[in-house]
Amino acid sequence: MKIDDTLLSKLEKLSSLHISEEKREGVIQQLSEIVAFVENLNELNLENEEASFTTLQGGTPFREDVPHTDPAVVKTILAHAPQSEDGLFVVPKIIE
Amino acid sequence: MITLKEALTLPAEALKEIRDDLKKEIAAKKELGAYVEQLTNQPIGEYGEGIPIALKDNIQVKGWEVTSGSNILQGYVAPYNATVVDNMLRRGLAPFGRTNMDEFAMGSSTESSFYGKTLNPHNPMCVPGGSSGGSAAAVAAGIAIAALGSDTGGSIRQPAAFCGCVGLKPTYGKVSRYGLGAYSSSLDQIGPITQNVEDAAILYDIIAGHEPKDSTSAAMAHESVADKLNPDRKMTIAVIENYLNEASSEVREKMLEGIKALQSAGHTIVYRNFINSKYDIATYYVIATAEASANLSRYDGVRYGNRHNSDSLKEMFIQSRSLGFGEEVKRRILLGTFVLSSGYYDAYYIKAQRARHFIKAQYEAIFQEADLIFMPVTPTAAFEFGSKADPLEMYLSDIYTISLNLAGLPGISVPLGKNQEGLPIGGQLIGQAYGEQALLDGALSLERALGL
Repeated sequence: MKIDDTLLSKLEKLSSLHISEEKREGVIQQLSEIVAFVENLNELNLENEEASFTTLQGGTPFREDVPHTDPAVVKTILAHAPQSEDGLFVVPKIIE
Repeated sequence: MITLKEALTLPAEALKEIRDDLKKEIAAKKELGAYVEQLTNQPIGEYGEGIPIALKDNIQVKGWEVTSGSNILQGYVAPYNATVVDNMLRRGLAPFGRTNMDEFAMGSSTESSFYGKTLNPHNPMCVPGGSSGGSAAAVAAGIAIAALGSDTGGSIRQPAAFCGCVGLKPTYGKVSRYGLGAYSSSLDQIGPITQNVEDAAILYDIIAGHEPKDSTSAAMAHESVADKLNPDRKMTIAVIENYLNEASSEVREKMLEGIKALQSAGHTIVYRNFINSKYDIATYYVIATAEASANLSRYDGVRYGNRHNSDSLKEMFIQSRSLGFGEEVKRRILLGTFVLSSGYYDAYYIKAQRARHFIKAQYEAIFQEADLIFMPVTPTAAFEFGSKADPLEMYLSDIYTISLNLAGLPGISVPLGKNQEGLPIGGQLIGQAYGEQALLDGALSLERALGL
């Protein structure tokens, strides 16, 4: 699998990242090299292995749906947020 | 430096004196860069009183800036304590300083930290390992009694080996991840880095236990191990022969001394083989990056940390992330996004999940015949700064530590001695899931038999 510029652009869009012009070639080469290495897994016969994995026996448990809010946490987060007002986060205008 | 065991017997006045001395020492050894505070010229972070324990910069301490060694988290203040912190405070231990780390724990040398380099106390030209490099360097340099790190693919055990400390990665779920900055949630685990095996057992007992707020925390009562340590218990220990043969000569030599020590202590050594470690690396870099791409999507400049202002929301997301994350973090997010994306999900992500079962089954087969496994921690001793500029080459420095995170098993790095250049080399013991008692018994036996 070769990562090319089109695929990199798609990945940037999906991950909200921008890779600058001068770095693109290097990133493409590094990602291609890592993906080629990962393809070592094709040498293993994994047909009979399960496709889901958890290290916890019985999986993760469900819990009661009880609301839990610590006002102090909200206050600390808002106090240090990049921009907040009236208990809300402020972001650039979404609708013109 | 006083051990944790000794510190636990001291009265409050004596502890205050130790804290004051530590502050002086930390300031005097500023060039080491083990603590973030050493790199930023700030007074050492303190929370509460008691036995000072250094914490990796991804463990939440209420009111502290906790930044995972990243630019994107500058300005973030933790609003609550991690479970391990509350557990420590209940036992008279207290957070003392933030230790340097690879950004978001993604690295094996601590070189990717936003704050700069941490030096290996045994040779300033060499890396301390990573990602918990600051924790290991602080303990090794005698400027921490003990420290906590986190281990996703070897990030406690590898720096402990490079710095000559003991590093324990507990069974997945034994120590709650509540309040740990997430990298790869199915692999991450907090654990102690200490001066000796007994201290590792003591600190593990203090931080372990069920946390209802963490659904991946094992729902079982913690049974203490430190008070039951028994170095005289005789066990069957499987040495991974192909790993022993492929390691560098300096590592092989120390491993052979370790094997001899274990035999002299009365353990039975058997030899077994593992599949080529390249499959572990391949599986890890699919699963860890996939989980990282999801976990790190929360850093968007809206709620915490660094925002790059822009007129458009979309542009603000992209700029905040592109300028806030370092190169390695971006590379792993892109890779994780790739393996989860439509058209590649089955061929990469699902395949790696299957491979994870396959790797776990290998361990299970060996544990049919052996109580513990013994293998190298690293292929070589600590390497020099800048010597692994190629990302894949850096990933390959983790070949012996990654598979047990994939299998969820506990492992401990124990010092085996030093190479000709005076750099430490570690050996790794691996136990069965929730088998920390046997693991630490074996580790104590190894430590005593080597008599280092």
